[in-house]
Amino acid sequence: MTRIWAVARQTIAEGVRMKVALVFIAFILLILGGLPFVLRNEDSVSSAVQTFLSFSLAGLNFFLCLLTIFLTRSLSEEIAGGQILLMMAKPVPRWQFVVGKWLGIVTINGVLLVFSGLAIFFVAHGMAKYQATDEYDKLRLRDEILTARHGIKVDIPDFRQDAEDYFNDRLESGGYSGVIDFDPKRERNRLLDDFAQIDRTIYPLESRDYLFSNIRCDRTADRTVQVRYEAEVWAYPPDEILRCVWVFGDLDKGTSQYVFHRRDVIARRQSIFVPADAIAADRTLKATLINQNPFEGEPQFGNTISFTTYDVIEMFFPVGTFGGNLARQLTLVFCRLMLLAAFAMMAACLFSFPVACLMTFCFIVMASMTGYLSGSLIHFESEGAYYWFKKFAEVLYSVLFFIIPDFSRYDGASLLVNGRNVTLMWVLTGIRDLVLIGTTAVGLLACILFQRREVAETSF
Amino acid sequence: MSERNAPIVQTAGLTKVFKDFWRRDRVAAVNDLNLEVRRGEVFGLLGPNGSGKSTTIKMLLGLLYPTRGRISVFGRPPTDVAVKEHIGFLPEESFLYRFLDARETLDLYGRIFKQHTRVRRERIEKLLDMVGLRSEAGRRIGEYSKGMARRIGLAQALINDPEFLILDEPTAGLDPIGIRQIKDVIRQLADKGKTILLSSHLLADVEDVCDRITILYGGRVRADGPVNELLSREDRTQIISEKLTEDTIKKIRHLIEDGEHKAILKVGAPSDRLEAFFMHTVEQAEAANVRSSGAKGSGALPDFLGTRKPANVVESLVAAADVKPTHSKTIEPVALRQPKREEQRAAQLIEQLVCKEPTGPVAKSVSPESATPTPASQKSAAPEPAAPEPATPEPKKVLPDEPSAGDRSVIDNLIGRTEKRDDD
Repeated sequence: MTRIWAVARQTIAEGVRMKVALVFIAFILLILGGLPFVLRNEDSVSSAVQTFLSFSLAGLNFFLCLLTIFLTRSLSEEIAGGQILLMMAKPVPRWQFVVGKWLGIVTINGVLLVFSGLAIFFVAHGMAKYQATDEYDKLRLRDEILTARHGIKVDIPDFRQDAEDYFNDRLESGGYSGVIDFDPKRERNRLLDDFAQIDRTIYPLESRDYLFSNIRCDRTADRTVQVRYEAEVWAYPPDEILRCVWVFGDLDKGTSQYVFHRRDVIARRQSIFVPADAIAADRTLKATLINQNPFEGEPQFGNTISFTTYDVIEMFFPVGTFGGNLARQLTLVFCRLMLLAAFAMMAACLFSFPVACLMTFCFIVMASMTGYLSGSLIHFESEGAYYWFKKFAEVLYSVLFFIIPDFSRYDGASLLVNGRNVTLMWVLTGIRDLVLIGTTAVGLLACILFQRREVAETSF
Repeated sequence: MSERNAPIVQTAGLTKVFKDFWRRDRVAAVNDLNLEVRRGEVFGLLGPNGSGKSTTIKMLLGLLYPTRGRISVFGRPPTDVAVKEHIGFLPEESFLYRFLDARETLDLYGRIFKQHTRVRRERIEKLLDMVGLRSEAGRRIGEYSKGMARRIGLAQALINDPEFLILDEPTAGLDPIGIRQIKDVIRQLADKGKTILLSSHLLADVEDVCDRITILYGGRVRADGPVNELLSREDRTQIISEKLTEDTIKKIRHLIEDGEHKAILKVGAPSDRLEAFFMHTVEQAEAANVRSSGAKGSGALPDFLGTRKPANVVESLVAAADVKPTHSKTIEPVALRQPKREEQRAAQLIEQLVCKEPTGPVAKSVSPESATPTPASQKSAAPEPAAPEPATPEPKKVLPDEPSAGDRSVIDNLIGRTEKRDDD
């Protein structure tokens, strides 16, 4: 470990003194310090904070990737410049040298990530504290963005009994006697779908109860939970506004009840912040939608409200803090950088500076675009002559994707920006896949390749 | 073979062929090289540029892998990390990290040798004193002149008090004072029982410090043997005395011409070598306290060097190999296996041929500086005969007892006599 750390120290000193890291820090200060003022033109502070988070996380990721490439350049240069000859004439096993170099790069990345994370945290909170004036904006920032929320879907009611009863009634009454090619199973499924669709369709002056269960959050009145829905509306005569009433809480279970009179723009996703004391002790929240215009003096239209699936009715409740969420997201970024550094080391063990850097850059691009590439392949028309091309591409991609992980699977940036929880489980999966499996495998390969090569021979 | 003369480096049929991108043979840098560096000697590896000196050294350090042949350092393969604990290496260029300062550089290598912090710091300061860069130790290596970087290169090579020191062109880029200091250091280290392999094409350096040399050309050995034997001119006699009068010279001339029927080739005042003159001038300037921003130093060897017992290295390495046999395999030294009878006889002849220490006053020149204490000056001061030479003699081996033709063929087979190959 003494030797590994000695090599790592040298790498860190070089990274710092080469001023690459300094340029990076200056950039971070510029971006993080300047963005809040640039983003003042956004329509609300909450969306400005979201843009800030989105930009700064993407920028941080991009520049740390670049920094990693620049830092691993030092190994290629040592091989080309001859420093490696002196080092390898000392009693340091080659694998320890490779691990030391990697450790140095990863340490610089880690330190910069911690500082950037702290900067992002304080700037985002500063924007929320000093720039937000509107009460709704403040509430949104606190409960929707600068938090870590868990989302759950509404409970899907069980219509099997209803469908079965209806089926039996109709069967007994001879309702199916004239049906050709009668399939009872298919008929039962169709009935289930019909009942669900009826449940999701609310005709004028009707109301419907929905239930969210297993809500694990603080039930005090000063906290809020967010209910989000997207309804399709058939309005006659045509209108842009849906006027309706939402009632949250269950008086039978002893909770507070909150009534919201809504003017919703049709075909948009809507949010309601409900005080958390509407949640019952059994961790359920009852929501009732009444299809009636509560606003006196405004016209009453015969609107039919419909939800295409149950998934479009969601609720979010806080399960953690923004700081924790940010830390978990940055841990995922760090895992990716560890793998990237290992790959860059492997490339540098084999190739000289520009080739190794280009290879690492290709790795980043491939890892970031894996989703797009495989998606485009699925939609690729493979008629005639293109058939073999597609087959070839599929084999090539499947090999590449086996080696190069899909970085977007380990990126919680969009969740963080929307205040969604980056789960610990996800982070642990990232550590397992990217570090324990990916980095170890690539690092091992790098050590073997470096062990076998003649360090005094120039690489191409 | 005595412990003192036990080989530290042995190569047998060592060949290195560099290949191109398509793995085709490009150039044979070293060709069938048989080399032996014995404990406690200063061994010179000579040759013009591109003769394979650096390639040989890189193979000794495990930085290049031989294409053919065997190589053992302290009886182990050179890739063995444990071997490198006992080696100090000064590469042909300084190859130091530009962003570290001198003290950090030495600290880095001290850490690599897992030295205790106290020991490391102590050694660093002593080495900085030795190379005369203590006052400049806070500057980054990138700001150093080539010579200053070279001095730090020497300091890092000594940080582990190495048993075996490999110096590749150690005087390249140094000023004459630095060259002199390095040569003094080499002699002092040799006196402390260190084994030194010195590669150079600056013949004066090698002549001054080396006990034994090998001259490489085109990756092959062209000549080898003890320096004083290779350089002594058996057909000449040199007399150096206090200044004589013309009369006395005339008498001596008569004596030689009449008594021996031989001619005196040159009579005159011997000139100082430029190095001696330069050193004298600088010493005078230093005595007068003239300011300079370059390196200053005593060149005195730090006291930690040479405190280890030289003989223990092989045993410790072999013991280490016994404990951890899976990590590295021990190469049986070529000379340590049980020799056959024929080989035993040949070995005796080789002993006579190449290893024989000069007995008594072999050198026929009497140096006026022979009273000065430094061994370097002792060797450097012998003036060259400057008379027109009848014919340039071939590099030769001194043969005290000329072996018979049968013996010769055995020897030739064994060591691959280079002279014979040259004729081919």
